[in-house]
Order: sequence, then structure tokens, then C-alpha cells
Amino acid sequence: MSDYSIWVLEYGAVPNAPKGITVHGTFNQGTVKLPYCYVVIKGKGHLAMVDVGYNDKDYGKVIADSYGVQNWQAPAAVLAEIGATPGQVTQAFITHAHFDHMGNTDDFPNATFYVQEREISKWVWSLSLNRKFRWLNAATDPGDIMRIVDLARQGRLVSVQGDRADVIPGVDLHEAFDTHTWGSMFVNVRNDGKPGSADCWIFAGDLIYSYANLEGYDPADPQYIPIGLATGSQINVLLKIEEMIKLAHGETRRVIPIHDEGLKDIFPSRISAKGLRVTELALAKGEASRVK
Amino acid sequence: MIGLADRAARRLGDRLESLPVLPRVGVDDISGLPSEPLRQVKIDDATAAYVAKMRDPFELLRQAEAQLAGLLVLATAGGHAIAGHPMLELAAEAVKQAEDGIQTIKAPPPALHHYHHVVQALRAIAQATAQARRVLRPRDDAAIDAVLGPLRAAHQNLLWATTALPGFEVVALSQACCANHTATAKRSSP
Repeated sequence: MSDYSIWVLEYGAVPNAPKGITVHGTFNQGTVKLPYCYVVIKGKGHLAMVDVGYNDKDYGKVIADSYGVQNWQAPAAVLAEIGATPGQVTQAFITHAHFDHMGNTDDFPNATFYVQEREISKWVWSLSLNRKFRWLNAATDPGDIMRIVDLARQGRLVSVQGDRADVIPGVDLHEAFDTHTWGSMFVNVRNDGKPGSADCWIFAGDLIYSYANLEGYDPADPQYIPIGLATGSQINVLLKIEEMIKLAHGETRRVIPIHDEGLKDIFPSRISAKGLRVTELALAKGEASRVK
Repeated sequence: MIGLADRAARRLGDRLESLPVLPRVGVDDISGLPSEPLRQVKIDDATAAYVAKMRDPFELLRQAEAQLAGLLVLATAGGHAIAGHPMLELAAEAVKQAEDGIQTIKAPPPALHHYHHVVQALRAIAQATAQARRVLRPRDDAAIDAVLGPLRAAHQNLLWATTALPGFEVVALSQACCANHTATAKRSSP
């Protein structure tokens, strides 16, 4: 029996994203639906999230009008699909500091936010570089930086130093330095609480967008293929992909690409009345299914 | 000692007096002005020229805002090297360059709303920079608030400016992990 119930919740989507942004090299191969999701982990007195999405108040209309992100829904509506409220969220593990992963901290007033110290410090460092290097922080929001200041002053920001086991029981944070960003991390939920458990779920942030990043396209000859964007090193990205698969004892379906629309074909899912996907990965004892 | 940012703020204050029509928005008043929906703004040649000229100053203001916010992170985390931190001087220089650029720009009527918010943002960032020079100390809540207040006002004015005219971003969404780059490319095309 699982310690935690786990859901991947869609909160918006780009219906026709170029495939080449999800798997590097697949240019001019059409488009894919790119869902925007966060993860909810419920159990043992905790309601934790992996990432919190972007701040629609500041950018929603711009994003909707200019970039094709459709059907953004507020956390209150999204979490209601699993019977939860934003105020109940106790922890949020921020995989990296891009605006579309940590922009919505304001909507979770009772959560403590965990982010790698290296992500913050290198981010601040990048702001001091010559203007020619501005690509490095173009996707970071000055408003998010100010929100970090507020969180720190409220005692709601935990700067993580590398790997951290059992941040909540059975949930580990793993550094993925110098990959997608300087201080990215991934989250491993060992759902029976046992060390090295095969009953685990790994949430990779933007280290991967698709199962194709983990497996390639030839089942007879699998390969790792990175996504297009890396502030750090693609070699490090591939090494972390391998590390995540090893933690999952080779069962790649347990390494969850939240942006992969194909999750609905692998795990029990439903489409909500608001047109957003709810995918259910695990149910703890006593928890009712939210998709059946 | 009167700093560069103080002089910058006063010069802009003089120029603001000559702006027609639009009400003043102080650095503590972030209620703002209603924005015309972006798609309804007609871009004539003069406005297009304004947009082209204002992009660099706008980006400099965004850069300065981000750098000051980064300094606040260091102050909150208890950093000891804020006074004289290189990033403070970089922010001040960015503010100066932005001001110099803005002073050369004349806003045509369709751009007046945008211009107003950019000028407000400049004043607020200049004030934040001045405060950071004078008072910013690690873990000093009052000192941090003295910078954070005008910085928030600056951020809000930059956001409003982005809705007043196309071509301005506080966050380069095209660089986002998950942006629809096809749409981005179409938007960026001349």
C-alpha cells in the first residue's frame, strides 16, 4: 500500500507546440500538445507539490494572447479536482527558478518552498554579468526574485544544499546541477518509504519533457535525447536521466515527464469539466480515486 | 552624499511636469491606470519608431530591477558584501543609461500611456537604487522595505507598460522552457 497519493494536474496547455522543443533534433516534425502541470503528493499529514506553475495575474493575458497557452486555471480550481485547496499545501519543491515553475508562490500562503541554494545564488550571479549574457536570465522574472525575498523574510524559504533525503518522509530531493539550469533538482517519492525502493515516482521538472527523452524512438535500441534548452550542460542532462532511471530500477514509466500528453495513455486519467487532465499515479490507503 | 540615482530621479521629476494629460502615479501608488487592450492600439510609423527607440531603455530598467532584487536576496540571506557590491553599481549604471535614452525619446500620442509608465518605473528604480546605496543592510527589515517598496512599484509600472504597447517584455517568454516558439517567431517577424 502506498504512503502517498500522487496526482499530476494540468493547469493549462499549449495545443500545438513545435515538437522540436520537447526532443532536441525533431525539427519540422509537426506539433504536439504541451500540457502545463504540477504534481501533488498527499499523505502522512502533508500536502506537497512539485512546482507551482506561473503567475497568471502578471502574465496570463500576455501568455494566452501571444504564446498560445490556453485554459489556464487557478490553483484553487485545479486542486479542487482532487478535493484539496491551495491553503492546505504544506510544502512546494521547486525544481528550478524559471517563471513557469515558481511564479505562482503567492497562491500558496501556508507552504514552505524548497529550492536549491545554488539555483538562487547563480541566478543572482548571472544578473551581474555583462549585458551580452542576458540570455541566461531572460526567462527569470524580477517579480519572482522579489517574491523569494518575501518568502525568506517569512521563514518560508528553505535553501537546499544538494541532495536531501526524507525532506518529508520517503521524499528525497536530488540535485541536478548545471543541467537545465544551474541549480535544478528532481524529486523522488519512495512510496513505501524504503531506502532504494522500486516503488518510487520521480518528478524531473524540465530535465525531460517526454518519455522520448528517456527512451528515444527505437525500442530495440533506446537512447537518451535531451530537450532543446539547457543553461548548463547537455552531458549533465543525459547523466541525470540515467541517474533517474537507475533510481527507478529501470522502469522508465516511473520517471514522470509532466509535459508529456501521453501520461493519459499510461496512467488512469480523466478530463475535468474545465477541460484539464487529472492523472492519478498512486493512492494511499483510504484515499478515493479522483479519476474513476 | 548625493548619489547618481538621486540626481537621476530629480532630472526626471522636472521632465514629468511637462507631460500632458496623464495623472501622476507616485511610487507608493500602484493602483495604476486602466490599460487599453493591447490589440486595439494602432501602431503608426511614429509609434513604431518610438517602440524601436524605447526597447533598450526598457530592457535596461528591467535589468536594473532584477539586479536590485538580487541584492535584496543577498540582504535577506544575510550577505555581508552589499555595500559597494558590484551589482549595485551595475544597476546604477543601467538606470543612468536608461534615463539618458528616455530623455531623447519623444512619445507620440498613441505611446503616451506607455511612456508614462516607463518614466514612473524609472523614477521608482532610481529611488530604489538610492535607498540601496544609503540604507541596505543584511537582514534589516526596514532597510529592505525601503528598497522593496519602490522596486515593487517599478515592477508594476513595467508590467503596465508591457500592456500599453507591443514589443516589451518583463520576462522573455520566448526563452521559457515551454514557450510556443512558433507563435514567438511569428510575433517577432517584421
